[in-house]
Amino acid sequence: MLNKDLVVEISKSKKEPEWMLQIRLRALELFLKTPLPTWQIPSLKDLDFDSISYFNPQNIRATSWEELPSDLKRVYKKMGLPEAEQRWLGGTIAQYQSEGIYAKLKEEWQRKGVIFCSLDDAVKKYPELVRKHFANVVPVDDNKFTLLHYAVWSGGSFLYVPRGVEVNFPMQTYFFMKDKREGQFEHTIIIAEEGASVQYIEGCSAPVYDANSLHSAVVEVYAKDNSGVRYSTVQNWSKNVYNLNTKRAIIGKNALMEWVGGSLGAKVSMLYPSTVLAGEGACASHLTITLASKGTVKDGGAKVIHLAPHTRSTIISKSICIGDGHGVYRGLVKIAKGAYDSVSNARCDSLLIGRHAKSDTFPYSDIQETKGTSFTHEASAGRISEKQLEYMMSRGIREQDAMMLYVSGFITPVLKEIPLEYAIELNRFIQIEMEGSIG
Amino acid sequence: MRIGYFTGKAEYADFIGNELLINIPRDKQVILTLITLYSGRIRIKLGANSRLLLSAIDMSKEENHSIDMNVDLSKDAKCITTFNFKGESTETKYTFSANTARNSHIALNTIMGHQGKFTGVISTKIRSGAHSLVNCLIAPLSGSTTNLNISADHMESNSSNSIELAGYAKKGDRIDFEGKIYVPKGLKDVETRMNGRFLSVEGASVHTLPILSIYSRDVRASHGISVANLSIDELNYMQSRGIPLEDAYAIAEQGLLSSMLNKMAKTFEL
Amino acid sequence: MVDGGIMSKEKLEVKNLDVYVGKKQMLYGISLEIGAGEIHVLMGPNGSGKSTLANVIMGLPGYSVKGKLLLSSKDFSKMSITERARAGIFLAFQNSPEIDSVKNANFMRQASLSCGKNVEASQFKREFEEVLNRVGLNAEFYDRPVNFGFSGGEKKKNELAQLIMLNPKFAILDEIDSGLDVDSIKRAVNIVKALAAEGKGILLITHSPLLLKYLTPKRIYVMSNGRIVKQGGHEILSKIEREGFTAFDKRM
Repeated sequence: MLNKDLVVEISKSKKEPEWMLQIRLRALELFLKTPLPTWQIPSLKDLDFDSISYFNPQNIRATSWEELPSDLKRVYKKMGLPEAEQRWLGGTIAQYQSEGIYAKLKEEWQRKGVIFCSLDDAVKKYPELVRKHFANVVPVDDNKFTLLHYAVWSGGSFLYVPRGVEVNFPMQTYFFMKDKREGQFEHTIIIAEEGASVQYIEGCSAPVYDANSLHSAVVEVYAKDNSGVRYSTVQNWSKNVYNLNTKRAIIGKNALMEWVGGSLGAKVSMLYPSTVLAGEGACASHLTITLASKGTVKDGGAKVIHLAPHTRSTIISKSICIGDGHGVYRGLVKIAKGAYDSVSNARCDSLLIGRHAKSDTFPYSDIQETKGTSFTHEASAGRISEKQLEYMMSRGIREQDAMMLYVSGFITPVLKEIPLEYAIELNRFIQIEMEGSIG
Repeated sequence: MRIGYFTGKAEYADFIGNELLINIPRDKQVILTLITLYSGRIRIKLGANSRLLLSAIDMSKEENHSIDMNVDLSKDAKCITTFNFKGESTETKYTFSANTARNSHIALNTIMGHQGKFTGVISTKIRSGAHSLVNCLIAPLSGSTTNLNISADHMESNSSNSIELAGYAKKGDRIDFEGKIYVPKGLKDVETRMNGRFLSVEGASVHTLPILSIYSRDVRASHGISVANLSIDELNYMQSRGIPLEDAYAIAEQGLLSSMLNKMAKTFEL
Repeated sequence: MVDGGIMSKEKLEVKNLDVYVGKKQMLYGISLEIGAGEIHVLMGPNGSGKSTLANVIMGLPGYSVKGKLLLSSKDFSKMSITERARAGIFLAFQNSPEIDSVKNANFMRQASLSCGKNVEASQFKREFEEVLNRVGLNAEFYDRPVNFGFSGGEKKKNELAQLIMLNPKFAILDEIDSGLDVDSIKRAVNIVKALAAEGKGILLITHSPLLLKYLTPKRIYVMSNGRIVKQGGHEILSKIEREGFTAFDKRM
């Protein structure tokens, strides 16, 4: 039951300071008063907020092989994942690296003054730092789902990189979330102080089963002057999940923000990572691969707001729709008054593989400053042409392999930016999904 | 008030009230010129395998001016319309809709040289073997607002569509463009595209939303929009070759205009 | 690629081929036989059915076929496009499609692997670069997307490169000379001669008698309106040069 008592209980069990409880309560109050949005394409009518379990530190996860849904088991088999790992993927996040390597890395980042821990811990250990940065990039009342989020958030990371520190190994979430992975309402804050740079990776390319069907996470990124942040994420939630996250970055002078993402799973997802280019010379790049498999609706896109002059943004969105999957791209590019000499380029391509696949593209542009600015957007939708397939087949390549070759080439511009271990699995997963629907 | 004047054979066109009805019988080829001065409706019907070349100029001085045009094509008919808006109205509203039949062609060239506020709503329905071509040039007088909504609805397989826009926004101008290409499910062999190039000058504002809704996969669909001002580099380059600032913009504008006019001229080759 | 000059007894035979597109008949009773190491030439005006024949031999869809298609006396008319390619039949397309998302090298590698040529990656790279050079394409064509933005002539050269890499038994070259300048044509001709010398059977489709100045085909077929209206040796070339293709039409 989603009510005040539940929220108080969550806060108490985490031993949170009073200011955090106040934020939660205010969010809950507004959430209960706010109606569901109506502009989106996927239907949210099946969401029953009261039946969702909001507070379960242990999680309702499959811990035995038998409990996993059969389509997942099939995919795991095809991906060649041993049963032990399958049970793991159906339950908790494990470690790719040994304890030893983890300990060494931890020592190094601590030496540099980097803080990387769960947000729950950070609220207690670094209250002032957290308080200053919490709910600023993504305000509590941003949308209906952030309201829910701020009322019941739990888990997530806090990553703080001090001035001038360049972290040259990627920070991955499983460093500390060894046994507990609460995907639902995670709140992540990444702060790169002036001149800092860091890469953050989270997610999983292989399908992950989650009995919890509503995910409403929030990610706030601060990339201050001359800093660089790359946020890479791949999600492959099981087909009962509604993935409705809000991710935003505010970046300063000459800062660089890169969002790299693969959205493979979930029944419905609505994701519009956004970057506010607040400082002169800032640059943002949004790269995504989206797979809309059978029975899913992927409503996603990018929002880029140029507030300062000499800023640059690039959006590349590649979407593949299989079966009756529905891919939607929603873009917003705004070049505000005063943001002269700013350039934005967007490219979104949809590959419709399934006979009943659908694609919608809504790229909105609002150009208020025209001095020296340039905005271009290109999009395409359709399938691999018969002629192209026949050509490849006339060179001895089987139809399935020809499709896969084409698709691999199609996603390459984004795939090459995704961390290698994720990329390999992602490619393999797409292959399996495609095999399931061709021929 | 009658909508305006037309030249050409009265047997094909007539006024009913302030509505202009143009009826081209099957297999006939007709050229008509029209000048519109007052608000009204134009209803055009083309018989099977007929051809109509309609050249229209709007020179209205009405405060609020509205033209509603509808073209209904029969099998194998072709209609090429050019509409040049040069009126002095404070507010102009132009609605155009075309319904194609099998193997018919509709081409609409619109030149918006208005002042004040202009709202254009253009929609075409494309059937089997039919082709729809919409070319729009937005080159209004300073301080104007242009609101343009263009949609292409593919109703049957084997249909094709091309929408081309060129716009020049000057200081104080505002251009709002929304375009939609819709291909429902179950269609095959569809080729459809939409392209918009907007050259903007300091002090203008442009909003665009080109929508692509493709629900069949045997389709080649694409769209592209660019809203750009001459970049600082381009301006520096031109100036370094002795071209002053004002001329640089003029040259860019010329390029935009001439390439669009060329496209429009090509429609006459249909 | 060359195996000591032992000519195989392979034959590509087309026997009494009738081809329909829907209800319309495109080819009437076409018969020809190409042996290993032989160069045959198919000529005729546009629309005479040359490309239709080439497409049917490759197995492209959209045609109803009656008659026999034999490779070394075995019927291959039921084989799919892919199977025919792997069996050693190659078609250099008249209009090669562009595949903007696949790089030339990746495509070539995949095709080579599918046709049973499994060489190690760095060796493949060397080989393909050499072949590109041999057909007259510079190094950048290694990484460029397949045929994308290539000029007509460059597409033809790319087809030749694929032919050399895939090492088929029989190759049908549909208008390999179009878009090529005189020097490139000479280069292409030398490649064709070399391939024939290696034992490949070649069917060269062209409607330009110029190309044949440099070749000595075993047999020349003239097509018109879906039929072979004349066949013979080099002697019929001079008649074509003098009177054009219509000289043979009248014989019908």
